[in-house]
Amino acid sequence: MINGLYRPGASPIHRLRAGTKLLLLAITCTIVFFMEGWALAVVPVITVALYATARFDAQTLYRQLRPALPFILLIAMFQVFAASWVEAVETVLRFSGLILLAALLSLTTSPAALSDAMLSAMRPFKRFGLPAEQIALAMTLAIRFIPVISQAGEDVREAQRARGGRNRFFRSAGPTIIRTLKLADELAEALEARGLGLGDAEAPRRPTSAFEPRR
Amino acid sequence: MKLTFTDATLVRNGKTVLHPLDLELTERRIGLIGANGSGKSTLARMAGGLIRPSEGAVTVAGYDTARDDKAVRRITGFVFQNPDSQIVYPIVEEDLAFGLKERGFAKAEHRKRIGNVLDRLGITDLRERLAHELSGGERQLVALAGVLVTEPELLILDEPTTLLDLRHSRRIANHIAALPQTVIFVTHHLDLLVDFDRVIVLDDGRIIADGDPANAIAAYKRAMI
Repeated sequence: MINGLYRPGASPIHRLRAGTKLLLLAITCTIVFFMEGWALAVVPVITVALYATARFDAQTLYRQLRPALPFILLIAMFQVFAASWVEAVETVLRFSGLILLAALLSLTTSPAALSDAMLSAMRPFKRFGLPAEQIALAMTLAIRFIPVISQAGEDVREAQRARGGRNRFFRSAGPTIIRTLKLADELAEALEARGLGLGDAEAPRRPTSAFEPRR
Repeated sequence: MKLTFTDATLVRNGKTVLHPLDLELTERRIGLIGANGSGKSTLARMAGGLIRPSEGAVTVAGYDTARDDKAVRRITGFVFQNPDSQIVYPIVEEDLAFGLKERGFAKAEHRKRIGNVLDRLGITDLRERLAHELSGGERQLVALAGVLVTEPELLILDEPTTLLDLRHSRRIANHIAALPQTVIFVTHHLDLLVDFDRVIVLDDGRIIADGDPANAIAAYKRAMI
């Protein structure tokens, strides 16, 4: 299962509006970022409670955190030597909380709803030249292509294993990047073909269905 | 629906990919076959306005693909070989709405059309599924549905069955056969073209045969030996 990918559900958190969730996430993350000392102990408690409310188990929670754990622990170790063990614990709690809360948003919000919410939030800035539609689409595509690119990487590693090679991350990175770039080219063409940027300048062409018999 | 190629040529990096081409396509089912690199996908992309000719002109229903590209894209649907590169949103229903959203259709119209297309293709159960969890055949059906919801007058399919098993190939072909639109079908699966109105064979950027399926396929087989 891919981390941070939407999982449809009917929990209260799933049902919250995407814009509300986005706003709450921004506020919560800002507070967590500036929290210090023992107050940070409340972050894992709230996070676990939110995951339980969204009906996700401990394994799902751990999967969201797992890829970032080595980096968090590395920073924490650095803090132990550079500052104190208290600050190291604070770092672990702060970063884990931020990652888990952000993951909860993408687990409980469909990318299209998230994209629409972001578009609404960015709309006022369009007059200053902000390409709101493009940013929202880019975000949606980034989420959509996590499993596709992950699968491309797995295919490359499998091919290397089949040819007797050892499973080395850096050796598979090159072919995976090449595949991803090819996919990006194909995607650009497909977006154009599917009508990206056609706009609504023209009225719907005709109201009849394509499935009606030819006359 | 009428497509015309008038002296249409494509040159890329000094290499002629398509030699000057004069064609008039008025049939409802047109097949394009040829060896890999023969120019059949390029010809299909030119017909859909995705590639503009270096010289000459291509028109679709009277619209020039170079001058009126938006009008051409509005009436044309394109299905590619790899469904992964054309499914934009992770959830099927949201993905099907993409083309409608870009064309400015109201949400009520989205629901109506999406329901209609899913029903016709027999994939209503996929409506709320995640695209990456579907099989290759299901993903290709979703890609086809994503194009059909926009109700294009011209449907271009570039090897949509190449990655599919026999059952899904046949299923896609049956759906295509039932469509009222003009269809240009690029394929290596020659048996899918037997009921077509016209089949064009390309080799090295040139048309080497053009006619009814039996004669065109025979010419293709002779050329490949």
